[in-house]
Amino acid sequence: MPHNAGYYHAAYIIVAVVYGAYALSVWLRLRGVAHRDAHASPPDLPLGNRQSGMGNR
Amino acid sequence: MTTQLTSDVHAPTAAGARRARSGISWWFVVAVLAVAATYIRAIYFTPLEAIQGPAQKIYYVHPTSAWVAFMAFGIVALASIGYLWLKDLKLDRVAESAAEVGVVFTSVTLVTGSLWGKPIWGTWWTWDARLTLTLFLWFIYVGYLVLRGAIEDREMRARYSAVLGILGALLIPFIHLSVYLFRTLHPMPIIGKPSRPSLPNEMLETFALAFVSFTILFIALFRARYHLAIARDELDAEDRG
Repeated sequence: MPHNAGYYHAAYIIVAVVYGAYALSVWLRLRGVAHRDAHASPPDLPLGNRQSGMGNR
Repeated sequence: MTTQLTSDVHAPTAAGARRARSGISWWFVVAVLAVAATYIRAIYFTPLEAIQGPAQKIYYVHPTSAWVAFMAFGIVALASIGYLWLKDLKLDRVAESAAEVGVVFTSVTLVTGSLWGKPIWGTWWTWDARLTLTLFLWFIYVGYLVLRGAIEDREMRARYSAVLGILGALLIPFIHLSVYLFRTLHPMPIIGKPSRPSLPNEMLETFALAFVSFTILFIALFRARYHLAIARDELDAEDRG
């Protein structure tokens, strides 16, 4: 039987690293969007704290 | 993971936090467990093939990744046809998300195929019909993603990329049939053939587990990527408005 286990070990490691790295990249981008959203939108205030026609001056 | 995600955000709005949370789901947990189970079964509980030796175990991650990639590009084509017909941006987001995940799975298919080819064929790469067509498919969908990034106008981006998404998927039947149509080095199908699969039961069960686990992994990655597409579109719409 040929001794070629190194190739399949490398393949399994690469598969785990590539899928893991892609999952991480999606998660980081989701986090980036959440950050952008937090800075772009005004905080959700209860209705009682809002004053019509008055911005944060 | 979810806790970390939301606690890092400075004063997140309810909508922002909800969007971020919805991308990471229990599908990921199931996918990680399923892939881990596949690895353990393939490494420790599946016998070695007598002629190819340990390198044959690449078989459990190579065609399964290829199957998921083809399924992803099939979804791109169907969603793109739907978009051109209905002009619904939801379908464009489905196509975009499936294409990106499909490119990742195709990359894994190409790399693992190469790692199998070296010990078995004696070369990392050969311009065999199936390999060349798969590489061509990879280039088409990388081009698809580049095209999406290059067009500012939302409707135009969706329309142009839908056309490319459909054209690219036309290659999939040719790739599947290439081993029958051309003289190729690539092995003939062992599972996807009209007669009974020619694998011992232990190997067949490991392959089936790998098939299911990579499909679950695709669902997890696709869902997360789709939520990202929705969140980005909503924010871009807010920025423009």
